Amino acid sequence: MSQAVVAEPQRLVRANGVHRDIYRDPDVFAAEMDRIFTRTWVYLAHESEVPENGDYLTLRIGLEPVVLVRGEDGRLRALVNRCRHRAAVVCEQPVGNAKSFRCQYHGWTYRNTGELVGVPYPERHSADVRERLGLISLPRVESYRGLIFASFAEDVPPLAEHLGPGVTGYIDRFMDQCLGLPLVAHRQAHRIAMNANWKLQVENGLDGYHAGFTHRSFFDVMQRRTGSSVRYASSLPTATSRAFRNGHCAIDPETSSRKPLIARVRTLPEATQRLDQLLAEVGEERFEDYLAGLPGAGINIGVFPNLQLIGIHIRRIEPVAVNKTVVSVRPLLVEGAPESLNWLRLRYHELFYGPAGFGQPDDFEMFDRVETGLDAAHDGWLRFERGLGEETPAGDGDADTVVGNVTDETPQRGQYRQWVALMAGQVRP
Amino acid sequence: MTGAPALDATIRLTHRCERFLLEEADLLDRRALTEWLSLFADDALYWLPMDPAQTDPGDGLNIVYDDTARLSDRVARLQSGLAFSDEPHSITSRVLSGVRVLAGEEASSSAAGRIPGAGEHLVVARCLIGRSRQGVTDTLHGRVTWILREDGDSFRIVVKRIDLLNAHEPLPVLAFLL
Repeated sequence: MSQAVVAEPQRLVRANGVHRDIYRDPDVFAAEMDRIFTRTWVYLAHESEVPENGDYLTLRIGLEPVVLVRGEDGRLRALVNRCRHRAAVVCEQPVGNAKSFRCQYHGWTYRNTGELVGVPYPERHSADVRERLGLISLPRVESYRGLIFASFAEDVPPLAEHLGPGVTGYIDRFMDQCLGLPLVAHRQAHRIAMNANWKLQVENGLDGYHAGFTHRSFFDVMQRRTGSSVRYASSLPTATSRAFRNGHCAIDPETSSRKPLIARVRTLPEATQRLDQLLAEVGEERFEDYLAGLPGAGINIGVFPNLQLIGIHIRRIEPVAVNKTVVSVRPLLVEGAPESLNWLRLRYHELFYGPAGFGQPDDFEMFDRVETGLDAAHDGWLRFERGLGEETPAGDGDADTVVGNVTDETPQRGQYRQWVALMAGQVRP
Repeated sequence: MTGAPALDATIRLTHRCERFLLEEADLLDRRALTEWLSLFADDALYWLPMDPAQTDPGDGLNIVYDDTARLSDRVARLQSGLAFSDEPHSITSRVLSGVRVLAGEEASSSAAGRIPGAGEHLVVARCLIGRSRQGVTDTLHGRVTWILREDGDSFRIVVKRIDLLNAHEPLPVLAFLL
């Protein structure tokens, strides 16, 4: 059965919902790793994580171990982290700086550009071993606004074209969130292990419907501390969700008021002292502008398949197995801003996110509950029908973009259109 | 060499601290969260760092960085019935071992986030927390550091820092109190 549906992924996704097999079937997962993660652009890291020549970090693209490294020539490469000889990884550290990578099994050594430069006792190898067996370097690595993507497929369109004007407009807004100052990745990220399929996080990060329910306890705490009741994206008609080309999407409360978020900042540890420091450093005139940018852009952005930009963080979704995923949540600091501002940004992030935040754990609980509910085989379909047929064109320069209310399932329908297209091998060149 | 009266005082203090901390652990295991919260001073720090080398909670990204007000929020959230990530609740069983009261240089160079003042003691221990929830039992290992302030014949907790063995790895949801 499962091999047959993998051959015909259209059978698992309808306009108004998806079948439980896409979360449960190991054959579907294996097909995703091949047809999605090795065939489209996949997010790796932010450029500020590898600023100097030799800086590297290890990660996975789908299940493939990869070293992202800035070579001695200053160029970023994604190298498959596997010795070409007998398959041991050549780099075990999560981050670092190295001129070369040595496989400690038999001593083969590669430059940080991937070139094989050292083969012990080479006389027993053919003379061209070094030319033939450099580390495999992914054919495409490109960045947009500091976000580094790579692809195993040589024939993907340029990254900017793949993203398109719809989502790049939102990425620009996100990256310019604090007075247009550059954002840099914090050296630490929260990493949370979920016992659920990776797509549950893909859907959830762009879900403007759940917050008032899943996160009610967070809003209650904030109401008690700030004296004002604010629920996320009450179904204001001006608050939107958007599906852009290629499965990218956004939700946008479209409120210009930063007051509720700033009121939350005032509940943080040492808030009074740190805000006074900020005021003293930037002056009264610019203080409000800094404060407005402190809690982020107030929008959620999804770049299919594995990147989300939310609040002040970059979220990378790392599939591990059909029912195992790691979610990495890395805060962004504002370069050139006073230390007090970045101090408060980290505290603001800790309030909601991480394994013990007041918000994110409840999302993870819902993933667990979905996984349990998926045992109910008699109702095999999950429904993404909210606002179906009510969507309108966006007029954002991209004919593919459609807009719904913020609580609609417009983003998820867009994600699954792309999922089917990739799984069926129908993606436009 | 420490004289006998000084040794007696150290043993007595260690014993008082250990008793207090075992009672603290028991309150958590019984989920008596209001009582547990009342053990903390008004200027307390409840802290789970990601980096064991970090000495100031403001110097990095933390798993938890609570002042007393935020810790009260945390308890209220867990008691609201709406903190779904701990509904139904985790059931826990804690083992504390190797309780030591550090003094002098050892105390002032420890990574408690603060330096113990007059009438305060820096205490360290290893902790093993067994946790059962929704059919899964797991174990958390950690090093715990407290600063305890003398308060009548008992103490107030000024700092509780927990360094989880695997704080640098992907962690499961930790909505309950450690």
